[in-house]
Parts: sequence; C-alpha cells; structure tokens
Amino acid sequence: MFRRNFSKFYLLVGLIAAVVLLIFLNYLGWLDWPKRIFSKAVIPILKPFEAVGHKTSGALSVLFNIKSIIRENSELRRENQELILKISGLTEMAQENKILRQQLQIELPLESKIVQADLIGFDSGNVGQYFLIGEGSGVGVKENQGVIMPGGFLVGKVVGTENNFSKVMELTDSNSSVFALTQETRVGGVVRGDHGVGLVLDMIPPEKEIKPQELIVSSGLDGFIPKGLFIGQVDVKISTESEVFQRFKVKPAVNYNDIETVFVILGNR
Amino acid sequence: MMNKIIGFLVIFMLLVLQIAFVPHMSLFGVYPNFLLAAILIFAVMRGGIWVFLFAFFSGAALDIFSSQAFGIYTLSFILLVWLIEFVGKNLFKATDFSGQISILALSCTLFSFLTPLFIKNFYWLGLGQNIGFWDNLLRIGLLEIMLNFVLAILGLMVFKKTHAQLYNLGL
Repeated sequence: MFRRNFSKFYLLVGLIAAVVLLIFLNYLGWLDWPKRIFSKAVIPILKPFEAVGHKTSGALSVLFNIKSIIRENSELRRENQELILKISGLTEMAQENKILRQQLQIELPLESKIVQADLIGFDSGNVGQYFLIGEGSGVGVKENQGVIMPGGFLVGKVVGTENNFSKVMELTDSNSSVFALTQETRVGGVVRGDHGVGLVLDMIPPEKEIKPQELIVSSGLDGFIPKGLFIGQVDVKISTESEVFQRFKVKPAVNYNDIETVFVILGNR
Repeated sequence: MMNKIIGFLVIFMLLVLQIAFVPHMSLFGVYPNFLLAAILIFAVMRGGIWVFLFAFFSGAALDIFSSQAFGIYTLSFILLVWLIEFVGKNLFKATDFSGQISILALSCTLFSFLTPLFIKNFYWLGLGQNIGFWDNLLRIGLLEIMLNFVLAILGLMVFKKTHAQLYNLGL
C-alpha cells in the first residue's frame, strides 16, 4: 500500500510537470495545431447545443417574467414611435452631410470591414464575462478588435483568437474599458465593466455636466474600435462630491442574453 | 477498455454541454461545472490512475475554451483528484455515503478557492487577466460551491443507481 501511494505521488508530480510543460509550449505557440484539431471537432457540435440552450432559457424567462415583459413591451412601443421620428430627421441630416462633404471635397468616413460570427458558447467558468464566436484568425480576426451587434451596438472586444474561434470579452467584464463620449454634451470618459452586472462611466472631470439619460458612444481613441458605436445610456450618478472624477452608472444598450450573431470589425476597407 | 472509451465520450459530451448549454441556465449569473462534478464522482467511486488521466484531459479541454490562462483548470482538476485519493484513503471512509459527501463538499470548496488563486498567480507570472480574489470569492464563489456540491451529490446518486446496470452490461 505504501508503494501504491508512492506511485500515485509520482503520477501527480509527473502530471503537474506535464501541465507546466504544456503551459510553456502554449506560451510559445506550439500547441496551436492540437488546439486547432480539437476545436474543429468540437465547434460543429457546440452550435446546435447553444441554440437549444438559448431557446430554452428564452422560454423559461418568459414563464418567470411575464409581468415585466408586458410592461417592457408597452414602454418599447412608445420608445419605438419616438425613435422612428428621430430616424427620419437624422436620415435627412446624414444626406445633407454627405452632400456638403462632397461639395467641400472633404473625404467621406471610411467604412469598416466586418465579418459575421455566430455565438457558439461561453466561458467555461464563472470568472469573467466572456463568450466564444465561431470565427478566428483564419478569417482575419485579431485581438483587441471591436465586436458589435446589428445596429452598431458595441458588445465587447476580442481578447483571444484561435484558428477557427475567438474569445470575446463583454463590456460588462471588470477588466473591460473603452474610451467613450457622451453624444450631446461631447464629454469624454472611460466606460468600465462593473463585475458583469452593468457599466460605469468613469473619469469625467468634475466641471463637466452630463445630461440625464444621455446616450454614450465610443470615441474611437481605442484604435481598433471605431468612433460612434452605441454603448449605452447614462443612468444615475454614483460618485460623491469628495471624489476627483465623476462616475455614472450606465444602462447597457445590449442584453447579453439575447446575443446570437455578432460582427467583428476587422478594420477599414 | 470499453468503459475507458465511454468515460472519454462522457467527458466530451459534458464539455460541449458546459460550454454551450449550461451558461444559459445560470442562477444569478453563476452556473455549475459539469466536468468538475463528473471528475469528482469518478474519483470518489472508481479512483485509480485513469481518473488522473480523465482529470488531465478534461481540464486541458476546458482550458482550450477558457478565457483564462491555459493550465488553470488542468492543474485544479489534477490536484483535486489527488486530494480525493489522499483524503479518501487517510481521513474519510470513501465507501460510506457520509464520507463521500464530505469529500465532495471539501473538493467543491477547494475548487472555488483554487481557480481564482491560480488565475492570480498566473497573472503575476505575466499570463492571463487579473481578478479580485476576495471579490470573486464572495460574489461568485459561495454560490458556485453550492451549485457544484448539489450537482455532484445528484450525479453521485444517479451514478450509484446506474452502476449496477452498467456492471451487468460489462462496462
């Protein structure tokens, strides 16, 4: 029995040494091809299971949240009417802008090159807010590229890529930070994730004023993330008078439970 | 040999469920780890060298799809399996149901401590992201321990019930 315990101890030491070796090889990039082969076998199976999980959670949330869904529905109908009016006015302004740029010979803003990717899964643990998408470095996805939903809503950024899938960090993750701008008052700040439950607009100078319910967009200072992507809406002020910078709670524009398809911004055309 | 192949297939299916399906069933944003529960049950009920290999491969598979540094789950699983082997032989009687419950409770608690601890240490080595250790433990760890423990107990009961049928089938 003593000899069997010793052999198990040697096995433990051997396995830990193997893990350390794997970590080292992964750091050097030598594990790319085994990971590629394994992920090629797993990813086609992930997609249908993710779709089933999404539908199941959707059905369960309807059962448990009927009252709030009815209330939210009527609020959204009212908001929809207001937005339709705004869109028609903005479309006219965009057209005027384009004509003026052409007349003054100012270059039109470059369109971004994007690639569509399906959600295939989530981070395997509870630490951090991440999800997996079914496109990777094989189609040009790189780290720090922005990820958006249809409509220009910023969802997060790519933090890891393999050949055929990528890992995306949500904006609500505590390690996430994006340079942002308030749309009307044009005050610059940083939007940080708040432990997976929301967003915080930070680093607002004390002398600047922000309007309630003001929209927040990306400022483009991050490099990969273009300017003008919708992040959320200012909610309440959470900083005290003694703090150096003002901080505001931000209501995210995206419901992360509803994500099915995203677009990765690869760069300018 | 057949039961080893079935074991790896079970690990594979649990990996797919863990990544694609289980996160949709979260409770306050926290979900249990099916692979952890499976490895703990294998370790408690079967033991042996093969459990170490199951722990190694399932941890490595989780690490490939994890947002954290590679190696965290592999190390956690291997250490937990070794702990079960050590504790089961020296402290608790692993054949008793109460002993098995105690081992599972201890393992689930240790997993929730080990994972953020390794993440912190890997970050200090320049690998992966930083997290708040105590913040993570208090916000997520307690609920995660409970969910993993309940899942492991349920899995153990199911395994025991089906064990006899599987044995009769030669698995």
